[in-house]
Amino acid sequence: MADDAEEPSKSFIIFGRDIAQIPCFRNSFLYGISGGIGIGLLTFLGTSRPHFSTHVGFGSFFCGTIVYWFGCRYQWSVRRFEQRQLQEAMRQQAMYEGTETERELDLKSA
Amino acid sequence: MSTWANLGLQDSSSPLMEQLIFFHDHALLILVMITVLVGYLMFMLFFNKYINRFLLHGQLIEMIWTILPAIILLFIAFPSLRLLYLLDEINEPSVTLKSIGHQWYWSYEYSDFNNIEFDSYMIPTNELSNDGFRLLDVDNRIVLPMNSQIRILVTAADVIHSWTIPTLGVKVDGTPGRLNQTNFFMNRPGLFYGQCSEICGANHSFMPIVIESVPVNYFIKWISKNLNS
Repeated sequence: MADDAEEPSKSFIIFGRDIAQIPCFRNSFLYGISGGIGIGLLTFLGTSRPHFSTHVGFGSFFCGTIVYWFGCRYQWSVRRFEQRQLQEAMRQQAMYEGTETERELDLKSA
Repeated sequence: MSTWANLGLQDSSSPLMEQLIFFHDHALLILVMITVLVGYLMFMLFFNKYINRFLLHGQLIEMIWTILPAIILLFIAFPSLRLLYLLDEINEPSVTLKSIGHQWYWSYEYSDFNNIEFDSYMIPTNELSNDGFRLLDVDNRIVLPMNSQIRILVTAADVIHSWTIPTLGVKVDGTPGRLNQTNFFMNRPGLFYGQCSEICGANHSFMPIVIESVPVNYFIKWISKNLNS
């Protein structure tokens, strides 16, 4: 059915590894490269110095990629940890459902 | 498992290996960016129009190229130390396996279950079935339960061997006269392959390791079958 058709996921395979699947990788480079080009162009528009603008553009790409990567990976790691905690709590709840342990826990949390 | 021309890490079958892969990706991106930076600086040398013979110092740039690497190193060190301590966490293993390296095969003991013992030899290429993996398949696999903590004690009977399973992130040297211990946890069923990782003689490349990860009830059935036979 047309509704069930999924978009093909993007993949970028280097040395046997699909690096598009690495969390935060794609966004880091997208923002880094586009930010570098944008800031480089703006610098050139403002200063008319091509060399200097290239340096500024590259510096923006470098700093933008690295800073976005660090922030994104940290947030992803925190979210993943919370997801795992939630999964474990749901598993425990399914296991203890209808037992005395669940009643004791409900009393404690009430 | 590895196939030909595999350069990267294998997909993980263990939460610790998953964390190792995440750290590897993190550190590699930083290294790639540093390499790109150095490449850019070298490339820009082609366009240098002047040679400054009187350059003595540049305080600002020296501050930058001292402090920036220190900050980058902190961003590598903190996740690295976190993972290092995570790998050493104490947990309660449910099964203990002993692995003894010999020239040139492994022997295994399940002492928890009335001393089940067996040897594990590589299947020679001329005896391999059409669907077998050359230099990787063995006659007797180690069967272990998934989703359980496993303790492994590794030693050797003659020379130093090393018991390795890349997909679990395990590599433990087996030294004669010494017991090395590590823990691992398999979060999916399947066959996990490894090879001896310490040079041990002529057939060092021909003593592989195969773990068959099965659900707990299958493991119990396998144990019962081996106890009875």
